[in-house]
Amino acid sequence: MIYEAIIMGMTGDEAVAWAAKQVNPDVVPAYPITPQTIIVERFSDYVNDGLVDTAFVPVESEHSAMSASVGASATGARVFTATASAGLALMNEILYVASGLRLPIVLAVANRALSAPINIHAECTDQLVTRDASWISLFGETAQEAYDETIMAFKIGEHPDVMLPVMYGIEGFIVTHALERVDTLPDEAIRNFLPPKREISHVLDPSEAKTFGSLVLQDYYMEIKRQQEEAMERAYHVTKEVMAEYSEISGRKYEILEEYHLDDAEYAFVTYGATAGNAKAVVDLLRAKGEKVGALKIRMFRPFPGNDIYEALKGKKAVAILDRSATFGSPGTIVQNDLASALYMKQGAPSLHGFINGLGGRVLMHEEKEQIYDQVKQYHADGKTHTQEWVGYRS
Amino acid sequence: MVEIKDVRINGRGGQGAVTSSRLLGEAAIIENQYVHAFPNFGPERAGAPVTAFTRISKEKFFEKTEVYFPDVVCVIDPSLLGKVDVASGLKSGGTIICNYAGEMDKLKSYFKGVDAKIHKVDATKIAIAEIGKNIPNMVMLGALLKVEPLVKLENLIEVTRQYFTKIGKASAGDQNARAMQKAYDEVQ
Amino acid sequence: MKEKIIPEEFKEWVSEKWGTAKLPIGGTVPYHSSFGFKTGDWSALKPIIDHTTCTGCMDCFYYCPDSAIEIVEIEGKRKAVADFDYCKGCSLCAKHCKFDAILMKEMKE
Repeated sequence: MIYEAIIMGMTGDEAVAWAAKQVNPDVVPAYPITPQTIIVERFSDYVNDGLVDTAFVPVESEHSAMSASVGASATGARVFTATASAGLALMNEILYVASGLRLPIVLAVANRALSAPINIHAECTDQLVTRDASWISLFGETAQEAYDETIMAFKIGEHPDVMLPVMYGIEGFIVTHALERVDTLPDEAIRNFLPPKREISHVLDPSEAKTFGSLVLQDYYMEIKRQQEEAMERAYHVTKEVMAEYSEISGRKYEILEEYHLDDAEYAFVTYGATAGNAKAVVDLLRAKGEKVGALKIRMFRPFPGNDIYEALKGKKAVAILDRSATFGSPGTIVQNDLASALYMKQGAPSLHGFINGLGGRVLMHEEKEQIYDQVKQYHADGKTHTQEWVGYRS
Repeated sequence: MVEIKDVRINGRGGQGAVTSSRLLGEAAIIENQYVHAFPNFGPERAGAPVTAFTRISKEKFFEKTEVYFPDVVCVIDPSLLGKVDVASGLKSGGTIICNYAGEMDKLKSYFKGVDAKIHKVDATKIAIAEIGKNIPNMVMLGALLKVEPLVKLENLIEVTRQYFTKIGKASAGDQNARAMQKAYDEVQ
Repeated sequence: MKEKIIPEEFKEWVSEKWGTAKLPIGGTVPYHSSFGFKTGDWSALKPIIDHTTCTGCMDCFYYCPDSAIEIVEIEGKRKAVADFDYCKGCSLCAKHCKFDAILMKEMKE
């Protein structure tokens, strides 16, 4: 059943905080960092006003925020936290602990450029570089998706077949601090969607004592890591199910990929996050000129939906990957590398052209995207199969 | 193609440009419109020139950028004229509305060669008379709605009242409401 | 000395080399599984506790990083006893003993 939406005006951060309030997690350890700050501020207001039952733990760093999240989650608590940029980098060590211990912590990331030089604006490198930490990793384009993914993240991570932590990113300022219309669900819908307590398969429980985080050497370490990979593979299916279920209660269609005018397209933009919005806007402009172009938005980066992307792009001539992330000395952009790996030697796979753009909040104007489109057409005509370049900078 | 109205608000830090861009967005949401409203974030200092944006459309749209080519420019602080290129990127035939006490001819002289409809209102005077302080942000939006009916004035007044009530200054909400109505009536 | 019971699950785990399907997730292990690791042969030094000077103050009990000291009752008095199956010979107990009741000695079988 589709619940009637309660329309609210919220920024991306506010939408995350509001969804977290409705989920009412048991523990939220958090440390504020721009542009995630509003999430923590709003949520601490909800704690102060008695609107949630959450134990809010103000910690002294992000390393501590994730450590406290691990501790709380190991007791069976439902745990939420949020960070950005340098904060996520500081959490890095404990990200692996959270996933290795199989604790379904939910982490909202306000994607922001990494220092140096210091910059507070949008860039997704912070999240993309956590790709090997065994976290499920989602991206949202709008405040609406920020709200919806907050709720879905708990259900995906806590699924007994998964039991992995989930992070989802929204870009700094252009989503986190921008007011948008958000169709929210009534509390009742969330109570029905998400069980009041999380699934607990292994917890610190005095009546059935266990050791967490023990030394595991050559004889068992690899099996435990392999279990994480198997959980990741199941997470792909679970995410699909959860998104389908959420679509049914919200009336908003959620899939791990979002296709825009892709069916008859010869060329496509492949992107994620807020850039996807701009790519779709440019598709509209190019379509108006008669160009056969579409866009593919990747909503889920880990597990990487390689086969789905292949199916979606099969038969296209060439694609432009608009990647708002920095990588240096790499054969492709971060997402392009995965995409190339997924499409390699597959019949009908398009050629892949990666464009590093928008670093530190730099805007990629519509005209520049149109130029990229022309460039990719030219690469195709020239028979180039794989290029990687930077766009939108002064040389 | 989706029809979008892009509004840029030029003001100075502390004058409420950011709040006004948000409240304009909230008023549009009440009317079931779609918005993207946010300020240009940087080093925030009171008194420094700032910009804030509100993008409004009756249909869902995808754009996620700052506004570079506004349809409407709203200048909250008259001292910006001649110092900041407030008409920068304005679409031809667009609208400029200024908080300005002087003559229209003098105002127009700031925009030589700019293809725009130019309007003025003495928002500072109205703000001081009605609110008791030189905070003309919402006053300017009241005037703006007369020349560019992006949302209904009553809805903007409603969200403004809600905003001031929420921050515990309900009387300021009433004062702003009166000032907005006055600016709406007086704009030239 | 108390009986140290190793959980059955753990014994199987060590002997059978479980794979991903059977292994509990997250690398968690049952409580008391460390009883299965007899670390007593890690060092030749062992604490010899002189029960005539030991007052049963329990300092060594708390300082022992391996919980290899137990407090037992001998002739109605509390005394410290070291469990050589697990003692790694670190000598912390001897360092901390206020009554010089513990001596580290090389054990030759």
